[in-house]
Amino acid sequence: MSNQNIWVFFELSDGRPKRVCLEMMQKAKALAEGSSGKAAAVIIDPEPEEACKAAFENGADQVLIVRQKFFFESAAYILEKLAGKYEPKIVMIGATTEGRDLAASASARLHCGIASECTDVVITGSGVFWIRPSYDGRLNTNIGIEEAPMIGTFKPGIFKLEEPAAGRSGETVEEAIEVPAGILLTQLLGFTPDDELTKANIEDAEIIVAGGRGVGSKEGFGQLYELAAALGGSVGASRAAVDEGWIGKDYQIGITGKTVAPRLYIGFGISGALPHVNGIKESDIIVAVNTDPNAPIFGVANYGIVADLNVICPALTKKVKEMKG
Amino acid sequence: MKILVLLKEVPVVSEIRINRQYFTIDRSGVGKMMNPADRHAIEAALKLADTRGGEVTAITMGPESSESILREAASLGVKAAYRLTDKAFAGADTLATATILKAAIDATGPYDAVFCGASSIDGVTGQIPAKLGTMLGCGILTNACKIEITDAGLTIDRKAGTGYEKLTASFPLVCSVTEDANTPRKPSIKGRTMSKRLVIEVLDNEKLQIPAEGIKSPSKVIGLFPPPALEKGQMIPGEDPEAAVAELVELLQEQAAF
Repeated sequence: MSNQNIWVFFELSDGRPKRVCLEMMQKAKALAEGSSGKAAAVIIDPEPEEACKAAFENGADQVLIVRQKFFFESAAYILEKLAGKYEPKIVMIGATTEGRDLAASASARLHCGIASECTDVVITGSGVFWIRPSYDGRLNTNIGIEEAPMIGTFKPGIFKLEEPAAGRSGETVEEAIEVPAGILLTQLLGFTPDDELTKANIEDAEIIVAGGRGVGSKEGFGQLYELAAALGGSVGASRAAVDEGWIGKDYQIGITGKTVAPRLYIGFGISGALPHVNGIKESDIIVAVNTDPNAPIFGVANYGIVADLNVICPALTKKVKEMKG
Repeated sequence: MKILVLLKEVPVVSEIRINRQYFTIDRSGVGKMMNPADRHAIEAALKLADTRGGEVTAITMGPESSESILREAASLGVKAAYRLTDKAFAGADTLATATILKAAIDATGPYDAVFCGASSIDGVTGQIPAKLGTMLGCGILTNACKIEITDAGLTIDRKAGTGYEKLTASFPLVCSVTEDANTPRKPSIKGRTMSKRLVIEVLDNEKLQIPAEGIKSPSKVIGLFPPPALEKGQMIPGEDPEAAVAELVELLQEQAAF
């Protein structure tokens, strides 16, 4: 019989935890409080100190540390051993490039249920229910898993990140787990930064200026790039604009593209179909500009303006530039 | 070299109608097709066979209709095909599906390389490649957007945040392929003839002998429901654009939004 503990796998980048891990940690804390379990972070890294502190400040009661270099194959093996020893109920993993491989591999090792790319999770007496978008985000699927352990993955920006509790602390447990050589069959040779992909890395953007069908053309996006540059933000797009070929697929925001949670999102000429809206709803402030007063995006925007984006966008750029001097 | 490609027949998702009152889905008359990324997996498999010599086999799991995607694969140069089907396989989740595919690979393989699409447009879990690779105990290269054939195996590039990761593995391996990886070839006239002659062997659980415990799905679809509506915000009059921009900027400044 396993306990009610909820684990969050911490993926680190230069010693710092990825934002999605902190988002999941806060969610895990809320879930654990509701089900008399403990929220724990699992950190596999030679230098876990900074991530460990962040885990506690974002809600971890306990941090499990394995001082080793992270790779999905070894991490899946370590998770299998840790889960065998501590029997968590749930393991939450970020749906990042490595996180997806880790989650799939770990669920094969543990022979356990998995719900991937979820937007929510609910724990009840009869089981755990995972909500994930389906049919291009037009409907949600409710997936039930009864047996522990189980794995759920979440994209960045699904849960709102609240202020961490500075100085909060908890219990640290170190485990030494040796990974047999036969487990490591894949090798990461290196990472090459890319300007295009850096521009399209909107998941981490603080400010996003997004364009939809209303932008009208590839050239029409020019004014959005200008506004984004003035604000120090990034450009994103709705699926309609991507399908029109006005901007690359890496810029697509929505449940079928990238989910984002910037401090400020400004959508121009975006009608606000559900898949897109579900990909932006955790943004702190949503602004929408559209000529159609009935555009559904106005139903979710904090501030809406019914007007021509070709007038508003340059005027806003001018104003921002003036203010920033 | 023995090469395998895994294929999936998917519905044309945009054609699926949703009943807004009862939140049921209507799949009647909805077209079916090969999962888009799978075409690129076939191309990667054929390219490896062209380079290193050997044959490509295709496997799909699904109803009889899915044989058409196996024939499509044959028209491109795939030489052998299996369709996995059994009452016991119905409703298989990703874990059960990977278990069934592993059994089919054990029964028809071993293979030096297994290719598949990075994810399917209907399930969009992308779970199969890494699960299968783990079960097979072989190298796992997922989401390839560029594939290089090396002496011992494959080296791939994949998109990861702000750049590209380069990964490598020796044969045997599993490699999942994105639509950026290559340009799929077109069927040849000879290929079309071969596709008609293709003998598709059906493998059920009598042949695969997977114990019931192995194909039990730990996750179950409970139901479908519409995404919740979100809160409504404040409208700024747009008749005077200058005034609208001024008001917006003031509101955003109050909240230190930029």
